[in-house]
Amino acid sequence: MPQYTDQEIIDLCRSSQTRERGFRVLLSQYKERIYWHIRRILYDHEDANDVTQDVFVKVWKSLDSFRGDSKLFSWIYRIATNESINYLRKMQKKKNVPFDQVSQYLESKVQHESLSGDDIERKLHNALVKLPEKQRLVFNMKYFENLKYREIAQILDITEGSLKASYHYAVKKIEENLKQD
Amino acid sequence: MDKNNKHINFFDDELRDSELLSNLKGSNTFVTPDNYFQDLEADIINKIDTKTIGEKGQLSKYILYAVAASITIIMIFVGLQYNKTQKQRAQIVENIDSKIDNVDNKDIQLSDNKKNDEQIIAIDSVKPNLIEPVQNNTDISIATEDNRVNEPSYKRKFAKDNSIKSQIIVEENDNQDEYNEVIADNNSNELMPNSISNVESSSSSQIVIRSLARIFNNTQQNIFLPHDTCVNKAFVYTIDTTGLGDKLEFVWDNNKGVSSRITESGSYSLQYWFNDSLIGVDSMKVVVIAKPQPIIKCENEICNHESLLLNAGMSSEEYTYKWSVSDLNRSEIYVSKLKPGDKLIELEVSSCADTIYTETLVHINDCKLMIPNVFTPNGDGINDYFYIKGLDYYPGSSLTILDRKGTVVYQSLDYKNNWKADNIPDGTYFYSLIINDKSKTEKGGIISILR
Repeated sequence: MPQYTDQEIIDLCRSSQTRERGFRVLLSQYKERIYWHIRRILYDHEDANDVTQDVFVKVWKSLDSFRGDSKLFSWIYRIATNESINYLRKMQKKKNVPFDQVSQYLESKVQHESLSGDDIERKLHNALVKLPEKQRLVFNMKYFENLKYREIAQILDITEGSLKASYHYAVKKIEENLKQD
Repeated sequence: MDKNNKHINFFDDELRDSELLSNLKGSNTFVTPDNYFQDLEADIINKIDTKTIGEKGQLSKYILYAVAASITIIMIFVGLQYNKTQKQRAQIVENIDSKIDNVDNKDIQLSDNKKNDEQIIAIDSVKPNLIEPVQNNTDISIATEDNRVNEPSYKRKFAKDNSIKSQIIVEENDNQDEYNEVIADNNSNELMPNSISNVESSSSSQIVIRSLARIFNNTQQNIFLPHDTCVNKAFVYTIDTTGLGDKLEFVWDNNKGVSSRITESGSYSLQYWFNDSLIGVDSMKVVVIAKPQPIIKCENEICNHESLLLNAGMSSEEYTYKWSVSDLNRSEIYVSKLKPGDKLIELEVSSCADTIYTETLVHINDCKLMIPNVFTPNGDGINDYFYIKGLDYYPGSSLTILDRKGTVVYQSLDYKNNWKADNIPDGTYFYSLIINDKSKTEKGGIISILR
């Protein structure tokens, strides 16, 4: 299927007659990327599934209010990122999660992942979850999702300079962590 | 100089990853359940549908006022309009009939031309302005007319709201076995039990599916693919654009063109463009599944106390297995406690496209052993042998006869019911029988010899 540009999708969504079709196109083009984006933040498939659904429901509901000030792409990513972070915070607050820290909760999730048996990969993820939130987000988007700094800056609403610094620190910390064992 | 370089790299947009990390790159081995992304899409679409209704609910207060006011006005109109509607309805039905006749000839010609290319041809015809909107709230069902006895039969139906603007007619052609009626409306997919199923394909039979639809203002979506389609071999789905000019274009997945050759299970999407603008998208889920070919594999003859292993001769989990002797949906089952006699074992294996029936006959022997406690080897032809009924079913069973002191007076490793106690005085003896069954059951007891 030829890819639609964001602008075409927005145009489809603008008219109430074609909105649902526009949304379907949006869904088919974004669902996998957004899912993986969320999955890398939350690790757990069920968690990621819930949040992904919420994100797209939110996108659907907010299509009206999307004014095109920002790009569709970064708008959806921003919703996905915020929803995932909120989900983690809720998890943290919930008393039935016996973890003081999010990183410990995530580490337990990493253990459950059936990673390819490659120890080094598991180590990478274990190092990742110990990173501060922002650094981890930046690292994920840059390293795994190959987004451009400009795009990440739009999604996280921070300057490219501080973004690059974050990535730099993240890479350094992960390297140290990987070399340790 | 090194430091400078690092500094530059650090702010380069294409900042290189460290060696360690770049080795790892691209390894994403998180797993998702099978077909997860399809399900995800469906889940989300379901959610937004209900959410939309929810939003409407908030407006209901205002709508209520509006409705109350409208009802009064409508009441007046209804009375005036009723007669008119009746006439319109009759006219529409007539109209459709004549138009369908016209469509027939074209499509049959077209499918004949393609006969050699593929065994099954599905054709969607898009006919602008073919059907007028229906203005009433009733189902209309028109039976086949007598003068069309040799023609394919038609069914048509309009759903219970005014939004219906299109329909799909499935035509039975040649010696095609089955077809499904397909109904579509413009706005929702829910009215569409669309499916092509059980496509028996030989070169002489083909399915023709037509979508009779019209395009409203060049914007509305009007083609509906059969959403859940199950076939047992590859087929070609073709949209017939006869009469639409070259302004309408179709894109199947990545390929421009009216046809899509469907060889494997999956989701297929269709876009249609009118005057270079996208006017619709639709998709269909197709399951291509080989026709099951079960052959019951089992022993022809067993004993009544033995369990019988039945195998369907194939083991795909994509099929449903229905055994006459068990509720288990499995390709291999055990049955036991069968009664002596001939037992018909029936099996139905179904995929979403086919159901294949097969059967086999198994003879169940009454293999219960009857060991006498006395016999009379006096040569009168009656009861002259130590005859164990049912022993024939266990060749290789060994028999040992002991006298009261424990001396072996007779032994056979493969007893054939032929011991007549030659040279052995009357009296009471012990026997020990080792039955040559699976567990080598041992039976012992007392046997009296009376002449």
